[in-house]
Amino acid sequence: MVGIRKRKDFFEEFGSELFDNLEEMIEALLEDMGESVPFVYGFSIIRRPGEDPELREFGNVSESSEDEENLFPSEIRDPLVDIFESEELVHVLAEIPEIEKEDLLLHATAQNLEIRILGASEYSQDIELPARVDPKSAQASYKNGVLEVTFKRCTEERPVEIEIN
Amino acid sequence: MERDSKKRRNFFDEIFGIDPVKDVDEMFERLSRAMGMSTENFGQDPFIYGFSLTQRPGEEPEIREFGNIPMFEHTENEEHCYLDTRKPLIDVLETEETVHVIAEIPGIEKENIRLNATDLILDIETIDGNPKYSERVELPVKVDPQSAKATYKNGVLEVTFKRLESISRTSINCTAGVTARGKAEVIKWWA
Repeated sequence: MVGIRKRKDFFEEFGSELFDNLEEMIEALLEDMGESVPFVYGFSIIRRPGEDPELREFGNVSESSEDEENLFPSEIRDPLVDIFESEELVHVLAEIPEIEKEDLLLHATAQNLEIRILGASEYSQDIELPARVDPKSAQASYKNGVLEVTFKRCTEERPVEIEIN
Repeated sequence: MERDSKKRRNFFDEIFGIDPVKDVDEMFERLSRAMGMSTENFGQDPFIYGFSLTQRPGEEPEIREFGNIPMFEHTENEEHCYLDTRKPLIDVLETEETVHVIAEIPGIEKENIRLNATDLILDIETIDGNPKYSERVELPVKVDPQSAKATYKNGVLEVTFKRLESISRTSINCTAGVTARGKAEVIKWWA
């Protein structure tokens, strides 16, 4: 039998010690929010063997706002990103629904991938890559709202033994 | 006023009061408790949780959750927890004559979306692909399920109903979204 266990409200349970805080935050958010743009916040947690767990946040919390009074949602959200490595490749997956492929601009260096979205409100995010890659090897596709970029890893520069003549 | 260039703490910390870097164990423990599962259930696939907050004029603010919902399978003396189903991010809009349900289900082929509606409920399910999405959307007013029109484009599903009273149960065909049938187009970018 497969079923969804009845669970308590996530906020109540997870944010129990901070519930007042959260309500205050929601109120603050509502005050500054545009009436039609929903505010979205989420996180992803990944735990791969032998690595530290990794938490990535996404949503349209304005990144530059330092004080909580200034928390209002921007129109474009930070995408949900997942990065995984194989022996030879580094894959970056980003969920960016609702845009056209033509509005996506990608730039890569050996250590970073910049995703830019053109349009009414321009947006960009810089993603740090977990390993050095060859940016010229990058291949990208955008399909059904998912951007996938694949890089070849740079081969590790090993010390070379030098003979003395 | 001089702008502080220091990046704010992450929102996670602000909202839940846990520093996800320093208090890793506590984070997993509290997350597991809130989800009713064990910390071992967090595996190699990303665990996703989020919420949206909407306020429309004259209405109460609305919070919708999305992300991975633990599913439990009970055998005689064991319980298995599956985390492969995801609740999509949903928005429901009303006009005088119609009700629109917008769901973000990126990464899915249109053919793999199953929609079923009654006058007050829309069930969204995907049958193949990763992640699996599943959601029951309660509609704010009664609709005619026969009137439903659905499109899927760039990861966004939109279902439009006419407002009306009806009790029959109907399945909905997805009409072609522009890119839903397109081939994966591969672009090369040169740094």
